Amino acid sequence: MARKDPPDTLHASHLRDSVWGYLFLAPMFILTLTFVIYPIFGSVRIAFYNWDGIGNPTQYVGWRHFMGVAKDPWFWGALKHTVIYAAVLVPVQLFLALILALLLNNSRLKGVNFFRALYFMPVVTSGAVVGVVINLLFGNFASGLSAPLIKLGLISTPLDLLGSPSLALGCIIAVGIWHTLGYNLIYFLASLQAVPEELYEAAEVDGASKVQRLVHVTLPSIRPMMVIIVFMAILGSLGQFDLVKTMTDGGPYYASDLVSTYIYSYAFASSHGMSQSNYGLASAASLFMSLMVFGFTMLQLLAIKVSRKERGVS
Amino acid sequence: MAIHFKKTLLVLLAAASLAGCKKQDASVAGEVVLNHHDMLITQGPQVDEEIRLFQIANPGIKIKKTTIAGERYPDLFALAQKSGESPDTFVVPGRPTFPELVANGWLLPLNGFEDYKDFEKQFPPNCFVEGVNVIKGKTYSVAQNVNIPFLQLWINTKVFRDAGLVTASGAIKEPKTLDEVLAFSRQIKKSSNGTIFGLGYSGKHDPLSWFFWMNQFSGFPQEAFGLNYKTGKYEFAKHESVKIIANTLLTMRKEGLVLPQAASVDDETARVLFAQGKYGMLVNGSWVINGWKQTNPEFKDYTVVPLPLVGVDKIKGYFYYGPGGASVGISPLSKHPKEAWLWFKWQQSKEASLRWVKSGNGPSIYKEFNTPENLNSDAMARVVAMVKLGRIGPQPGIRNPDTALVKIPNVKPDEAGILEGYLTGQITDLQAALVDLDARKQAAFEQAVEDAKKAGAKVSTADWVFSDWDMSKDYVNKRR
Repeated sequence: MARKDPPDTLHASHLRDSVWGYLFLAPMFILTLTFVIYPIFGSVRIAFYNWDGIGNPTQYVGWRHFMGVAKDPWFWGALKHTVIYAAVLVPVQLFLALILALLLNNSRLKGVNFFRALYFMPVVTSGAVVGVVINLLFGNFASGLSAPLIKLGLISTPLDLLGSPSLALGCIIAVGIWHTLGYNLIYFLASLQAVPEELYEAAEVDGASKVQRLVHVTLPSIRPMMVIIVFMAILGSLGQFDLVKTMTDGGPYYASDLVSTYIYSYAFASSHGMSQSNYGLASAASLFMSLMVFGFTMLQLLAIKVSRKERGVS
Repeated sequence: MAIHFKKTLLVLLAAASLAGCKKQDASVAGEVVLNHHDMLITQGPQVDEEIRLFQIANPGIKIKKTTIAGERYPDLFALAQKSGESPDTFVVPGRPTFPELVANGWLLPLNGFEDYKDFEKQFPPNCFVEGVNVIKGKTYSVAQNVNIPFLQLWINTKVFRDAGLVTASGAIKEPKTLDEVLAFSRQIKKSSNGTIFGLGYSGKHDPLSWFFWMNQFSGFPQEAFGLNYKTGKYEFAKHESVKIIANTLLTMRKEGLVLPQAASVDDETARVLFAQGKYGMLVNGSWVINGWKQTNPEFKDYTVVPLPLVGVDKIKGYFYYGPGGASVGISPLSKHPKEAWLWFKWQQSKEASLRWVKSGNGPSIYKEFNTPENLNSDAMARVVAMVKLGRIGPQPGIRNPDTALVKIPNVKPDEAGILEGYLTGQITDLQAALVDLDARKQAAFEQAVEDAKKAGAKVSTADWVFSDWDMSKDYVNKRR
């Protein structure tokens, strides 16, 4: 007969197990509190002051910075660019990542590991480094390409991909898609490998074609993971900064300015002239942005909850 | 067993964390390590040489240099100060203002050192100025270099010769006006069948200084960036030179005379492309000489002239700077102030200054060193000769130190943005954009003064008005 633990012992055992869980969660929790939660609440106070980041804020200005941001067409322009960036990057990147993941999930394909490493390589390269290198590449590429195009009469002035108001944001989106494609590829690969082989075998027995297996077996099986991947890609793209900063600095004439570079431009003074850093206005703008990201995070949690409910996971 | 393992793991993790947190001290016993921060890139080898010589002369002191490139040096410097991790010695950043650096307690007064009086005596007159590097009678820093317009127009002489831009005597034709820059650029493009551009610059690092200095040389009585010191108003829209510059650059851009990536390349790339002969004229500073020694050691085909005049054929204004000046500072938090003072004096010594000049890093504050035999290069001699284009300008900070408390915020779009928007065709009505810019900058300025007043500063917009300023002479700044 099995020994039955008294309730107190059971509770203590649960607690002992939980302690280890909390212990391992603690470092990340403390880091998040320090570097995410505290700065958000800290910036609420700063948003009510003129402050250049030096000494303590002493010039109280009330709601002026919030009003300034709300009325600033350049903020709304930056927000529009941010939304365009996310709206184009996320579907294109996820589509490409899914296709590549399906190809690389084929165990009969030779050199799978090589291709996985190849596609993941840009992810481990800093966005700032990628931006600087791409800047040089585009510059040289444009000057090499311009001469024959001008000769052919296709363009009248030399190309400047990142200096063109109509091309700059598109170039950044293209680089952004390439840069973080590997992340989503790996996520998709992991979720594809978790699909039970029996499902495919059963579908094959039922006479399902490859496309039918993809539509009726693969996609429904990885849907919960897809929800998470989509929201992570959206949140990641809303916070894009380093590529834009290094490739165009939001230019030309704010044509590729995102909310993150808008905030930066106020937080860190121009190196020209008498103007100075305005952390107050930058904080007000970042609070607007935080609200937006918070909204998406809530949507993500809701979507995960719905997805779990559908799968019957508590 | 499992519990023992977990406990052991925990202890090991904790020990590893503590070991990781412990600050590493690289110094050997008895050796003092001084942390030194600067932002000097092309001058880096000479700073390294001074460190080497200093360490030989002072065997118990080691200098650990950290160079922070780019315009973010002031921000990273401020962060280091706020986190209590100040370097022992550092190049004084351009922001915040010098009085603020002192008020924040980030600079150690030098007067307390025993031999300070002797140190001060070695400098030429007017090097120590109250409100600039002397605050309330205490000295915190001193300038190393003489003031010259730090941007010039560099000419690739091979490109010019190949384009036939030479005089009858075979000398290079030197552009003196923006019209000539335009004409020479057309000539370069034409003779190279469109493969070589006329003008290049680094829009990423400094899109504007040269634009405003050209205005100043042409008689616009502005402080460096738009505020007319005679009236205390922002007047971009009033001065014809602003529009002439914008329109000339637009013409050059449309005709494909400007390096296409000029707006987005950094300083270093712009220099290398110039040395490779991709364009004929480069806007940059005297540090390019040592830059080329590092990146293009064979490149010698260059000379230099002042920035071109706009809409006038004779100079009507000058490059305006403040008297005094600052270079290196010592942190009050330094645990080794005596050693830091030794290093400070070493850098400011006449011997180091002479080595600085001889190594091609620019003219010294000791004028006797700025001779052709020391300058070692015709281009550097030309740069030093441009000292005559400089004048002491009005300094609100000397007149009223409280002006340092006025925080004028960035406006958007700013002058750089408007110029960029005009050149890319995103702005078509330049005059309207400049009128709007003046109004927004004026409003931001006046609001900043009001905010400072409310916070207790004794300031007014009149502190920025110098109606008695004669642009052709050194301005005598007086405390109000």
